[in-house]
Amino acid sequence: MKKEFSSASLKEALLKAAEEFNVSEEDIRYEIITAKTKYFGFKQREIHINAWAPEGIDEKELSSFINSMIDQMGLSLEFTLTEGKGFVTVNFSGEDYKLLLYKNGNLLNAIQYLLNRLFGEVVGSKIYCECENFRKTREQDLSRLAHQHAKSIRKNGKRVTVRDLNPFERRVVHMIINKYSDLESASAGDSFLKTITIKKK
Amino acid sequence: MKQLVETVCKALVDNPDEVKVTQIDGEQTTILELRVDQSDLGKVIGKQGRTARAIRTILAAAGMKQRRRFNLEIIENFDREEK
Repeated sequence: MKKEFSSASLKEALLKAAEEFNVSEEDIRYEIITAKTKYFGFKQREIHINAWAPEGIDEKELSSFINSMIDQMGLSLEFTLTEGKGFVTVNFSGEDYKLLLYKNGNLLNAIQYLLNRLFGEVVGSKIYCECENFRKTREQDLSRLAHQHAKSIRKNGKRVTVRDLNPFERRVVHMIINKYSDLESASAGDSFLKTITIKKK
Repeated sequence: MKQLVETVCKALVDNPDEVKVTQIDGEQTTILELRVDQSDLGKVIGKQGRTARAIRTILAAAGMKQRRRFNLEIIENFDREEK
């Protein structure tokens, strides 16, 4: 349930919303519609926000949707739901897990994206899809790769590119390269998957 | 497979009744034509085609299992007379 609120400051508007929905102020989710400054001789600000209270994840609805999706795809997969603070993890396992991880977890990421599109905004928590520790392993692999590249660049000074990384993977690489004070990294490309170039400063 | 596209798209759009999928079977490939309400087109395509790509990825994975290629076509029927 979204509702519009307006007030002089964001904080006041959030307080109003919290009162209306009867939840604490930190739990309110909002998006800013307009924030403008009026000039009537003196400075007066006005802000409009769209606020809603997260309803908490409906596990039944979520799992029945995933079930029907897996069914219609004809895959043999099982999954478990674990709820954490502000996120829900869907852990897949079963015979066809290799399909999920095919091409760097293409299908896993697609399902995660769709679930977030469908359920994420309303329930106010992020949905993570996990399978056979894929994300953790991927992070470790990437950090190992980044360290290796860093060493080789220090040795021979040649720049290295790492291709087709999604935002999460890019973050991992950038953070590691940042630790090397004599190296720098930059993302290039304008699609969802970008290429990272690592070189000497 | 037709059902799969229908369930996913019906969950995505504002007017689920307008979601229509036609299946055209070929020798090795199946073409799925998806029609949605004009106002919902953006919802099934998504930012930079991300939603459409996600649906296609899911179809491709299901196709690998069934040894069949699935093509998703999003049909846009715009009125020429209006222009």
